[in-house]
Amino acid sequence: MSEELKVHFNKILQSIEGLMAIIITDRDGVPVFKVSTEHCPELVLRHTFLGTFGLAANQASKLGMSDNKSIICMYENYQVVQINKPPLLLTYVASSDSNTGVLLDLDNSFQDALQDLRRVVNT
Amino acid sequence: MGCCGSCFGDQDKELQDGQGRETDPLINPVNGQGPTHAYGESRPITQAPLPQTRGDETSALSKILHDTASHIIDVSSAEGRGIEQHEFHDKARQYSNKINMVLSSSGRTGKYKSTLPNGVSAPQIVLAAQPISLADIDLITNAAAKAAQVMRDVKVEHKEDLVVPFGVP
Amino acid sequence: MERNLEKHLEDTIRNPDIAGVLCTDEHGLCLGAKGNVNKDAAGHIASIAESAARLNPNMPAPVICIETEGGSILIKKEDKITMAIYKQPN
Repeated sequence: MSEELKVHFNKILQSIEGLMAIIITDRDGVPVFKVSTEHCPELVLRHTFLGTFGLAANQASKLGMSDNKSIICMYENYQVVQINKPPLLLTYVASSDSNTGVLLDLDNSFQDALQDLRRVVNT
Repeated sequence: MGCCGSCFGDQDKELQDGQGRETDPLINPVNGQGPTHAYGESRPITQAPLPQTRGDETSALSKILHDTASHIIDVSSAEGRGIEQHEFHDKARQYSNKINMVLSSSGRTGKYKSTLPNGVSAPQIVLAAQPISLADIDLITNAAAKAAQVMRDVKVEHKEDLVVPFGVP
Repeated sequence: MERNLEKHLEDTIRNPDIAGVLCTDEHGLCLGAKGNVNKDAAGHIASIAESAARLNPNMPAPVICIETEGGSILIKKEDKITMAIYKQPN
């Protein structure tokens, strides 16, 4: 079953230039589902990295500008776009010259899969 | 602008939560605690008949503490609050088991929606439409050129200090 | 700061044929939008313009027109920014 989901997500992964990984985690950063290419740096797939966003989003929600929706981190060679979709967190790892706007809207292309994954965390 | 947004956000939240009302009466006794004897003196009198009130007070106090803690932005506490390595692996395994179960029960069986649009009912109408006019090409070319020109002129205007000290006398 | 861009977008949308305008930067992040447009489309607009410009890198960036039943979308990249104009159906 999850093989089919993997195929679906690999298609999405390849359709966007420079995108290296899509990681869907719960709010502690535990991966529920992930796909990545071989170019993706190993470190971002570790839980020390993935867990940080949940905490950061939590703190950022207290700035008085209502709930945090997304965090974009730009690095010299990479960009990491993380989107808060309670109870899930989406993490995209892409090269720094990839189109950030497309990444921000990417979850629209897998809404139905996201609904299934939400049930994995909720139940 | 950032400042403005945060002010509005705060007000908004307070109105929604009704927290203004909740905390208002509770803060008064805390303020009155300065002259502690008033609080201490009244205790022997109230102690016997109202043990429940005390419980309420403690829970109210802990609620205030909890609320305050959850409203404070504390980055240092974020460190080490992540979950343990073994817990992480356990959960990850649990999810990977569950994912198969949920996916097979969802009935989608791999029929995930393609991102392609459905197309139009009468393509000939769109196909037979007049090609883009020269005026439109001029319109977009000029608009884009002007926008690029305008964007080149964008400069950050210094309005207020970037670092604002909080609570420093 | 961005006042001039806002003014430019307002001037552009004053044309009665135009339903909306949108301006994005090279990362596909929306710089400004006026009228009936979805700001989430900013990334896709920048991506389309980028791909079209790559078809012939020696030529200036092309004008792209996407024709639909509900009107057409004109897209043009200039320097680092991309402009999109949503036209009402004639």
